Amino acid sequence: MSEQHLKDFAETAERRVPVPDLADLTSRGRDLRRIRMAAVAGALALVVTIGGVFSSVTRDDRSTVPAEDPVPTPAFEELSARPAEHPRLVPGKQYAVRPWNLDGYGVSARFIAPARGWVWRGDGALKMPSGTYGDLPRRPYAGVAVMTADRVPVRQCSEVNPPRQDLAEDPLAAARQIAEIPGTRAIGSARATELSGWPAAYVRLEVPKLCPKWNDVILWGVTKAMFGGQPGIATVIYPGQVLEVWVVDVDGAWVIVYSELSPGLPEGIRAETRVLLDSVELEKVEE
Amino acid sequence: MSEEILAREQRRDSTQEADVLHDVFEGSYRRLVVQLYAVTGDSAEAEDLVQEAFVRAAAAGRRFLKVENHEAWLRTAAINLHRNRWRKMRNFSRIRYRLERPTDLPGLEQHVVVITALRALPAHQREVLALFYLADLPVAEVADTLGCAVGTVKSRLTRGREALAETLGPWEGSSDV
Repeated sequence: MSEQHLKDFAETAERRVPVPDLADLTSRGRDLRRIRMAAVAGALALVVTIGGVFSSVTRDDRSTVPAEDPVPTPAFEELSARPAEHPRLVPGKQYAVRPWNLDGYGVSARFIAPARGWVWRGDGALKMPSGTYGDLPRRPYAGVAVMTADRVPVRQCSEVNPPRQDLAEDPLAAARQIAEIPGTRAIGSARATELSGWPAAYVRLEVPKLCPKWNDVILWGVTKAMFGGQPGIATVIYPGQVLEVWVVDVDGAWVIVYSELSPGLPEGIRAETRVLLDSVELEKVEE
Repeated sequence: MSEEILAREQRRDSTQEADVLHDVFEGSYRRLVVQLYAVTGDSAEAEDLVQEAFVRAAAAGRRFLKVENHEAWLRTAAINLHRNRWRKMRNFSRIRYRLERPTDLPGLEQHVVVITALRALPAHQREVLALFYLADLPVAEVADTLGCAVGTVKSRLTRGREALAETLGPWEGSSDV
């Protein structure tokens, strides 16, 4: 791939661009100018009118004071990180959640449901091509989750509560630790990147098989007791799952955004997963 | 007498605006569409954005006349329109748009690999690559156009080249930024 390839593409493409009628664009520009001037004049008239009404209200009967404005509709629907049920997400709707296990960190995650069939399960969203979601997903499925973690296991499968190490305080170093979690296989190397404008690192993993005794593989977590089934622990419960992981530094709060895809998932659901991931925004908020 | 002079000046300004817009259109329209095509990954949206930028230039009148670099003004306007659309279209139309097949200019079959690779990039990497390599803007001007820091542009250029290299082979060309 060379710079010349890009320039050749541009040169060829330029010759193919259809050219519109400039007179039409100019005419639309004149219309736009008229609309803007009318809007400015209207705004000025409105200011004068409101000033007149306000002065008359303060002088006259207080019963003419208008009612309070209604509570504005929030732009995002707030989701619970610990829902009692698993609501279906509305395609195209905006959602916000204080990520699971990030209490006290002051982080809000926002995303847009990409299509029908996505369900909210508390730590993230999930879609199965068929069947209904119960306590656990049935394969194949796609999921996207947002949480935090500060430690990863140094052993896998030998004990229910594996020893762990703290994650490094740098996204790339932390992603490299994640790439070396026992029981997982990194696909490519961890690399620095950014997510939602925050410094981040990315790594792709596969989980070839599960621990026979506990039928899972522990990925990362925050609690002292790192064993599956505990809140704040991320695990994989099916072999062959592929994860894309972003470790994000949200102004000092460590956030992990990850997708989990089953083998054999239809391409359409993979595309929806990408769309959902691309819509994820992380924000530092007041506690 | 003063009304006649004023009317004559207004006619002269109007003619000058039309002449400038015509010259800029002839010289820059196609180039801008290709740059926005690289930014958005969709030729139909690129055409729409650049045309809308020219509409705004026509609406700006004398303000556009006084701009030093008309092409840069139009490019910035088109990119801002693109960004505003994505921010505002937070509904199913946007998602469906993303899932549907984007449009391409005809006759670019030999470049489909390049187009596909560009589309696969995150939007912020695509933007900086398009402005640096296709618009030939220096890093500082790319940063100014996108409203971000020079360091951010350099970082995104590096990441974008690395991502393109994964699909299209090792990068050859100017990498010093």
